[in-house]
Amino acid sequence: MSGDTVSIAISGAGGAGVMTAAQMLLDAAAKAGFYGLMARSSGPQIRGGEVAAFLRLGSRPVECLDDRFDVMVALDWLNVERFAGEIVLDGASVVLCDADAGEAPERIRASGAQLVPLPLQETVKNLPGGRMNMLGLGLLTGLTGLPEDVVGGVVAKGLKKRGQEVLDAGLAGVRAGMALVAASEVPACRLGSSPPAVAPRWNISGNEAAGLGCIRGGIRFVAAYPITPATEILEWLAPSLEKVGGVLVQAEDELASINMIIGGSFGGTPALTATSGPGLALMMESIGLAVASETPIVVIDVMRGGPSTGIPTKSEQSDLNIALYGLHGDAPHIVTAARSIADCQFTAQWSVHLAEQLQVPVIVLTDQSLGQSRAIVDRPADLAFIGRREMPVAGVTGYQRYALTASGVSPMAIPGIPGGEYIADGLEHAVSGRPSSGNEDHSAQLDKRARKLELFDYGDHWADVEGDGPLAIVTLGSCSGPVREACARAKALGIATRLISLRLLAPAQEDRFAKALEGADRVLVVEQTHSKQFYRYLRAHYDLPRDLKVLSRPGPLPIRPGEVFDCIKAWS
Amino acid sequence: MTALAQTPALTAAAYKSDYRPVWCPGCGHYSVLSSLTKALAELGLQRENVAVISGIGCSSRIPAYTSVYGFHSVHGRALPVATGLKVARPDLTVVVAGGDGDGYSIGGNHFLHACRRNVDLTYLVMDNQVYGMTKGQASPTTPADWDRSKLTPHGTGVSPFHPLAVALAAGANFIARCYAGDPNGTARVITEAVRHPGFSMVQILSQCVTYQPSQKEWKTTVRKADVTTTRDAVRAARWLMADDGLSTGVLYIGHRPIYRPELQASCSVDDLESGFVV
Amino acid sequence: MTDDVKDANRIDSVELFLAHALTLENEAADGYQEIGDSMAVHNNPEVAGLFLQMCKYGRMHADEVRELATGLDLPHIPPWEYSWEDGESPESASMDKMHYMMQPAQALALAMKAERQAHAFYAGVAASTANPRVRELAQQFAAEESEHVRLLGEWIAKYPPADDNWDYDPDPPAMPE
Ligand SMILES: Cc1ncc(C[n+]2csc(CCOP(=O)(O)OP(=O)(O)O)c2C)c(N)n1
Ligand code: SF4
Ligand SMILES: [Mg+2]
Repeated sequence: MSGDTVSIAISGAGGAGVMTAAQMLLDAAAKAGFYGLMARSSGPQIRGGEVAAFLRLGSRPVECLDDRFDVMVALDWLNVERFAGEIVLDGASVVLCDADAGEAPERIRASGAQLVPLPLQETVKNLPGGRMNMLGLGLLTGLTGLPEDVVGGVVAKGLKKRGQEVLDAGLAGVRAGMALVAASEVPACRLGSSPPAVAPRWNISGNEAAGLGCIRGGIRFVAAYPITPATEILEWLAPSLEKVGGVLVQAEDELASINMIIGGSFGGTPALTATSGPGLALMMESIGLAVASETPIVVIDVMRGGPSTGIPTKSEQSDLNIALYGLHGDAPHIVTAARSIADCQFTAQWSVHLAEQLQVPVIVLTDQSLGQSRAIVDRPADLAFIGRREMPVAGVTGYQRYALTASGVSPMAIPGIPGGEYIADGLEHAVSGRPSSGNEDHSAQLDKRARKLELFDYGDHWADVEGDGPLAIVTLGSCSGPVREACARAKALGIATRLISLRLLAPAQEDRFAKALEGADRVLVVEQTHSKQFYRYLRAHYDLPRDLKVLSRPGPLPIRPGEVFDCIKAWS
Repeated sequence: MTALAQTPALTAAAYKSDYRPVWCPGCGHYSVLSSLTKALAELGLQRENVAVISGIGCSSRIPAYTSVYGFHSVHGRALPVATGLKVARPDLTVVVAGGDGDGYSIGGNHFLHACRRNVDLTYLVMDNQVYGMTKGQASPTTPADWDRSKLTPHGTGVSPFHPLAVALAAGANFIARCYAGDPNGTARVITEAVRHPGFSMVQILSQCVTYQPSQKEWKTTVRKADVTTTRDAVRAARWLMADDGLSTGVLYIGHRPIYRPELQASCSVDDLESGFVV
Repeated sequence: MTDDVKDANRIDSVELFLAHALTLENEAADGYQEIGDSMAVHNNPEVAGLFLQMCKYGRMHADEVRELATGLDLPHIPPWEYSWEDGESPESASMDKMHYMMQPAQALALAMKAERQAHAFYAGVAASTANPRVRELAQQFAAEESEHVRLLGEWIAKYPPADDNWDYDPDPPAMPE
């Protein structure tokens, strides 16, 4: 147990119901007033594959998994080696497993964890309609001390649809699991007292949060092509958009989806697509079209391991380069990064606002570990960011779509506005929109498109800056959670640090960054890439102290708070 | 006079911009522009309620020569841009225009799916069987033995693509072939195509005088199709497969289901949150 | 044209006749304008000038027709329903015969063809109509077109015929996109 949280891993082969049990445990913890986080990992099989769920529950908000697990519940040992790197166990860990499942795999035995074989299969066999996962849920209910009635309520809600018999069997399974724990010598692993919930809490995934942020920001048209791990954004958006008068079109490919949203936005409807690396690569040419034609769009990239098809189900931050530099030509655009599950909503909503305000494409980076994980969070504050596009009035005369304004933003007519008729063009153009290859028009339009991003006031949202210690840890996206936790551990030891987690990656905020770094003499860069993409980006855009270290690792293993903390400690 | 006749609000000339085309003198695309503007006048549409969407190519330059809204997008992507626009703004009249290279080659997948999706769009393919803009390479509709491009000095050796048969098989709702040498006839077909709901595919034989000079012969070889328009896809298919690609007319008018999502709100954005509350 | 086709296309009202004449002159002017502009864009100013001059005459004729039509309610006719012999208005010099390097003699020959077609149209109406006022107007317009033909003939005589290598361009085509 790390402070006030409990970390739990549940594993099992397909059909065992690991994900359902884990989801119910998270729901029950939430109902009982706890915070929590749930991530997952699975084999490549479509059905029947081995699955592991990773939970961390506690009485304070949880932004990342812990370094290790307190408890592992192994419903079976089938292929569990796959998760060996992810399920870190040690001498203080407890592994509950089936007494009849044979010997535990070597790596689990070698971890020093206390193995507690229990008659799992046997118990299930003796329960009419009994299921391993409900028994597992019961084990964990007993271990964590979650109230039985709360867990029962969640089970009832989840199994109601499947009929009374299934429900009764489920509840019996939970009780049996609790009884097994009570009768055994397993050391308890209790959650502390739950903090009083002041405001209602949410149980939300990063992908859902991103979708909600987009709708809140004004997105009403989405076109997309399914891709792991972004599909859940689309699954949430399709029915939700329908309810608020919008629509999601399933496109034939990403070339279509990016161009469809450009069309929708040209028509005046704030528009979005969501994808992952391979899809983003396909979209690049047309993101450039949106830059040149000044058509606002939002592209969410839920990053996964790359290059190529890479590791679709695992997280990495390695699309940073393509998001920043993948466009051909001088193509100023905005790149943002969400730094927690809840922040997916904030960053997405803010990004819609920026796109519409500045008539520019915004690439929003999240990743698999944010998108496909769920967290119990306080209801996010309402944000004022709404997409608002400057438009000419009806009947305007002498309208020039790409007029050179001081701000760089020119009013954008939408079809239906008489007098505003213009041709949006990806060819370089004069102020009227007419194609022009003249150097004056090219320079003026390049300047204008750069100027509008440079002059805009992004306020404090460009980054989270916390603390003022001499060691600055600069990070982005899902690494922010582990870094924040490492900083908190350092603080407990009296080591002062400062965290700078960038939400706005492009355009670079040189002055703000310099200010945030004032007084820091060392920088630790933390990122999840192989080629240190973030470090190189920082080098290219900002002044950094000579004393600099990089903690960088590719996926699929997440950066853990402990390794960041170790770096801090070693350097203090 | 037919029922189509009504006094238009604007003349055809009012739908042209004062931007002078860069097309070669003699290019068929000029007359497509003229047919399109005549059709818009005949349809009596307000300029602000029309959008012409294109990709890249000589033909795709057409939006700039009109006075309506338009988008000159990137090579091959006119159909998705138009689809997004029409789905988000069903109140607009959306015409898509471009070349054979743009539509059948780089944009081929979108062509199939635009037919299949059957959004209410009118697609004008100015087919000159060549990539005019990039100095005359073979396109998907170029005859297999055409050896005038440096890239395929012995001809393509590849059978040409049959755009109308493909459109029919893929689900287009209105299928016609026109000839740039018959601008008034083409204007009529465009008018009908816009009026017909769903995806209307109009192939317009539009000569490239620079890279396909033999297309001058179309003046004598292109003829009216010797069939009447059918609603029967099987008949249309049989006829299309037997045709030599030089017959003009409206060949198929279908009544296939149209993709037109409702854009009616039934709840507030706040209501969406309820699904997340613990 | 067979006799019954002629009958089907017969123009027996002044309004219908003037509607045809107006469109004929307008489209002639628009066509010359388009060709002239296109020649100008392709740096053939001499031929551009000739066509733009023809355009000016066309606009003048259209104005004359419009004047004759004052007070009359001309019918709206969709472009494809006019009684033109081949579906296109007779005086439009067709763009597909144009070439960016064409020389004045060739340009004027094409204009000549258009004027002759216009003459033939008016003469045909005069011969077939049952309305004496239409006949009178058609004869008058036909006579004007004859006069254009004569003037164009004089114009053509001022230019040498095109040289043999008129379309030889030593440079390859450009590739703008
Ligand atoms: C992605 C991309 N690839 C290639 C090109 C070069 N390109 C421009 S137009 C064109 C072909 C146009 O042919 P078509 O669509 O038939 O139009 P046409 O010029 O014949 O009217 C090509 C290959 C491009 N603009 N973009
Ligand atoms: S190259 Fe061919 S298609 Fe292009 S403008 Fe010239 S004639 Fe037309
Ligand atoms: Mg072509």
